[in-house]
This record gives sequence, structure tokens and C-alpha cells, in this order.
Amino acid sequence: MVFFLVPIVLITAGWTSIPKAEYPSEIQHDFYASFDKTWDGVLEVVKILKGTIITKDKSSGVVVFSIDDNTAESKVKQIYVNIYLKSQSTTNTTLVYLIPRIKIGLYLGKIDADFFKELEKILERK
Amino acid sequence: MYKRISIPFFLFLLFVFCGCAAPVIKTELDHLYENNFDGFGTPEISDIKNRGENKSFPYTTFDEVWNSTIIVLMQCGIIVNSSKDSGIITAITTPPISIFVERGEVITIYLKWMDNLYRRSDKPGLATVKFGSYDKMKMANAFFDKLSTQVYAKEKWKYLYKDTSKL
Repeated sequence: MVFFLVPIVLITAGWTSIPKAEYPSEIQHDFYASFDKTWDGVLEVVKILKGTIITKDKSSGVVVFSIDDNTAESKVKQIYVNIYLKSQSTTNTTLVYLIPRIKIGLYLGKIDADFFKELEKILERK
Repeated sequence: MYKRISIPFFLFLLFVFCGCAAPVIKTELDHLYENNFDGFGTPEISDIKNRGENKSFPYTTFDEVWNSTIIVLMQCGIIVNSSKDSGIITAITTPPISIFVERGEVITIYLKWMDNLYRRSDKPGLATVKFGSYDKMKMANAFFDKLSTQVYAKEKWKYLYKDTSKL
């Protein structure tokens, strides 16, 4: 009886494992501002966050920067933030993608909301 | 009595602690992380073209392929170098990848795996991780599949996108 139950338990455990998504969800936000304005705003937010720019290419709309993770509960030292800006000519808006990562994979902490909030504030001022 | 016990006990502790303090093996990639990728050397176009895998993307534009490459790469790793003028983009994925998007009537993507960054800094002849040519080919195909989906999704599966102009 036990020999019969053990494989069933193992098979059922395999079935109930949560499938892993191949892609993380795209974190994006649409801003009612021109590409140039949004680009300058993004660089300003990086400065406020005391980030170190790893690469930036305005013609591609790519900015990548790193920041120290100072949160008390975090075991991660450095967060790397990929940002991509895309001009939406039909709606006169700029779409901003943000994907934070760490050395070993995706960063699951909260950074996108703070970043977008700060960028919104800067764009309202301009 | 105490001397007899304490010496073997001391030796035992010494062996245990020696075992615990294993030396940390660092790679070229680890050093790049430590320096925030400062001084990262992007491969030459000829190097990417000659030693890499490639795939053509017909019925599309350079901009469409370039933008799609950025979106796919930023989900797979950290983009450390990007130049639309030269058409080269490099990202720290597993393993790190360098891509050249060639302009033309048909857009061609050349891909080079930079697994040389896994070389040990103390012994450059040795690497901490190795990828065989079959593994690289499989990884390249998986990347091209993702990229094709990103490039052609709107063209191939138009029914997924609502045409608001007809509403």
C-alpha cells in the first residue's frame, strides 16, 4: 500500500508546482511629455537617486544605471536598472519601460513606483 | 593531561577553519560588476560577424528590429553598451551577449556569446563556466525566437490588437 502511495504523492507534487513565466512582466508607464523632456527627466531622477550611469544612448532611448540598495532587509548590494524610452507619435506621449535587475536575476523589490512618481513630479515642473 | 587533549583539539579546529575559509574565485565578469562595467570592451563588428550566429529578419525595418532587440535584452539581463549608430548592443545575460544589427534591405542580426568573461582572473586559462557549441546554438535559436515574436507579433497576430478606429 505504502509503495503504491509514494509514487502518487510524488507525481501529484510535481503537477502542483507553480509554472515559471519565461518573461517577467514589462513595467511601463506612459508620460504626456515629449521624448526630449522625458529623457532629461529620467537623467534627473537618476541624479536624485545617486545612481551611476552604466550606459546611455539617446538615439536608442536607452539608459542603464546602478544604485546601492540601502534597504535594511536587503541582502543585495547593487541594483541595475534598465530603462528604455519610446516616443509614441500617435498619442504625443513617451512610453518608459523600466526593468530592475540584480547580479543573479530580476530585482523583486519596489523601485518602479518610486522612479515613475519622481519622474512625474519632474515632468510636471517642466 | 590537558596538553594531550588540547593539541589534537587545536589541530582539529585549525583544519575545520581552513576548510571554511575557501578562497573566492573571481572571474573577469566579477571584476566588471565591481567597477560598474567601467572600461567594458565591446567586440568589433568583424568579430561579432565572423564568430557569431546570425538570422535575417525580412519585411521589417532596422528601427523595428533594433527596438525589439532592446526590449528582449532588457528582460534577459543588464544592457551595458548600446549604440544605434554602430548597431552594436551588449548585455550581461547568461552568458553575456553582443549583438550587431546590420542595416540593409533585409535586416540581419549577428550574435556573439561572450563566455570569455567567465575566465578566472587568477588563472585566465581556466573558466568557471563553459558552454559547448551545441549549447550556444540552442541558446541563440531561443533568443532569435523571442526576438521574432517581438518583431512580428503585431504583423502575424493582428487579431490580438483591437482596431479602435472601427469602433
